[in-house]
Amino acid sequence: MDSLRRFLESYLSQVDGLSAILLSDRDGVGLMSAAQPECQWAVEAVVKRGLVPGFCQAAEQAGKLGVGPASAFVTNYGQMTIVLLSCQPLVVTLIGQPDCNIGAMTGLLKDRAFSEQLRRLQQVLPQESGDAAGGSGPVRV
Amino acid sequence: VAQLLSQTNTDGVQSSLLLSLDGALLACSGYTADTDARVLAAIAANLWDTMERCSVNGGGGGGNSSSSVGGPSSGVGAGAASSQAPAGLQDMTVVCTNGSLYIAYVSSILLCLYANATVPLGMLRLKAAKLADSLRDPISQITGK
Repeated sequence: MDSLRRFLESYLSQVDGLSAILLSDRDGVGLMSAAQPECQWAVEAVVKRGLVPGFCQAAEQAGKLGVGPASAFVTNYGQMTIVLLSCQPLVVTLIGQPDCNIGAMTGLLKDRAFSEQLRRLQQVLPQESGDAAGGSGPVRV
Repeated sequence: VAQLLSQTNTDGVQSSLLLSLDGALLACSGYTADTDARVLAAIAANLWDTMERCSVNGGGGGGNSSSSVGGPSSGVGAGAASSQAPAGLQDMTVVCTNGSLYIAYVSSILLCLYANATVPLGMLRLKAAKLADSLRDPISQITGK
């Protein structure tokens, strides 16, 4: 667990403006998180506000747009930018500064090491059937 | 308005819509594939409302959702702050397999751009920002907000 946390923490310095990473299931239950000390409140706020279940609900709605299933949301909340990536059955929540590198954040699933770690977690988590939100492939940027 | 909206419908941006916060279509320009523009507006408003309710800003309260915590926002383009802006959420991008949807708050209504998969997200945001800058003052005069 500590190695996974350290692995996630390594990306906080690699991606410009990235403050926190949260791995959770689709119900918003946190599996692992890594955050800069001054941004720990943001991770707690994401969990408390139910952002991940809201994302999953919205992603299911977005699947009715006619352009395929939703794989990511990029939301700008003024004081922070939050990128949610669907990696069924996981959801990756990336919390960044307003001027963070959104392209790097949405492209994180294309990082070989990061996607490999996610793949290992996906294998041990129970899969959910009949899900309309996203897939486990890389996010289109 | 439709003519102004149509100016962004190039190079993969298929349609531009103006809609109210409750999903009513106000203006539309472009092609929305198999989805009716009114349905698209309703879905966009629903997406906005869902994510706006989960606003996680640490600032003061405000906006149209009593359950969210956030400060007043200026919307796309960072223009003059609107006291009636939704709490926290300024804009959002929905990335789908075959296209993208960009939704932004502009002077009490929502601007929505619908694009295919060839449009980079940065270009989509930039087009929306420029369009929002053009619409902000006229809409403010109409809505009084």
